[in-house]
Amino acid sequence: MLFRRRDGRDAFEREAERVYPSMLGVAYRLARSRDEAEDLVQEALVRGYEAYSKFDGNNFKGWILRILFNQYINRYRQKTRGPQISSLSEDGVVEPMGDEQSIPDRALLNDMVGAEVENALLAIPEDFRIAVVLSDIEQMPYNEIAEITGVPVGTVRSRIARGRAALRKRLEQYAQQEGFI
Amino acid sequence: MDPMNLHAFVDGELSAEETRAVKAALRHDPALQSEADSIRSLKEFTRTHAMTLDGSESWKAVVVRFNEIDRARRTEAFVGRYAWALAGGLFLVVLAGGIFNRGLDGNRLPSEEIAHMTASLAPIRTPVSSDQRAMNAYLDGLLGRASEVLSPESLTVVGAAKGEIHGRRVTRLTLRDQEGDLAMLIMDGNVRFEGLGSAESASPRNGFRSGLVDGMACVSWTRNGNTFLLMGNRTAEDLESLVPRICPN
Repeated sequence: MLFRRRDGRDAFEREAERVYPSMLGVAYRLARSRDEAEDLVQEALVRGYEAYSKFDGNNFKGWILRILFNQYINRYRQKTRGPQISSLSEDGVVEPMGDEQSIPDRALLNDMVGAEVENALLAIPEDFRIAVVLSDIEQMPYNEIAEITGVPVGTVRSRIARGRAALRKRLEQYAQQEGFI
Repeated sequence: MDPMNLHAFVDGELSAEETRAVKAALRHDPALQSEADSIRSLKEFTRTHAMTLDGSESWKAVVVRFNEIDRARRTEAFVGRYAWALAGGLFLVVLAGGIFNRGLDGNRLPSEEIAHMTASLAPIRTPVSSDQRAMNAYLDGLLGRASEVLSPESLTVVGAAKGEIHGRRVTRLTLRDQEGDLAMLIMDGNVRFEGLGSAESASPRNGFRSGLVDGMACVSWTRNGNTFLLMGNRTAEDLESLVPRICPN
């Protein structure tokens, strides 16, 4: 019994350490604060550790991110945290990324630094933001994002498209301010 | 084309049939192709330029929490496994202590009980002491076997009371001689009075135990299965000298 429990602890700790950077990144982009992100991640891992016996062994990252997201919903979403969902409905029109003349080219994008990406991400509505983070940064498939966020796959698809469009617009605004375009 | 389909195509989330349809559309629509490229660029840019937070320090705090959880679980497991044994053991300790104390109570009485004993007894009628026959009969009836060791002729009984203390029959006689009154308690069984304190002239001899109760000298002895306690405003030696007269047998 003692060794079995220790095996469980070791296995969980290994998996948790592996996904910890991802969890921290996602939590930061949810909570918009480093301290709160660390707190959120710690609580999620504690809950995950306590519930580890119920984990089916498949896709630890998706499982623990689901716990993290629920933790965020329960603890933080009650407070006003900037834009949640844009004024347009989920089924609203997705704007095109831009025509050939207005889109900054790849080289131009590369001139921008990570801080601008983060600022732009934090400025877009939360639901779109988390969809883009999970898809583009964490490279998770739509069905997993749907599982984590508790919405249908179709909603995930819409949020990703709209999130990228909003992110793109933010980056364009920055580029215009800085004189890149 | 629905722009969402284009994003899903870039993400590889379309079905095989949907993918074929998008690819066909891209071949014939440069603007759509440009849009797809733009999506791909932005996706790659976001992935490669997003900040990576250093969590090495905060991870250590997480490990500490895991250790605390493990410690709590070990304690809970121990208590849970042995809860019945612990409860049972505690019960046995309490039971044994109670039996032990009861055993002690059976043979030992704290001296503080003496005042309680004398106060709680119910007064009974006493005969006129000059009638010796009546006195003998009275003491026989009152004290039972204890009367066999007493010398009624030596006693001037001016008062009596009786009752029960801790299940023992207790009789109090108020005796009087030329020096004043004395109180004598007679109890069933062999009782040792504890905490008598030390009297000035206390000396354990001849089977007596001497001491003080509320500042008053007392002498205790056992005879014939009864315990006697004589108290009075005298020295313990004086009391001890009275005992052979009161209790010659």
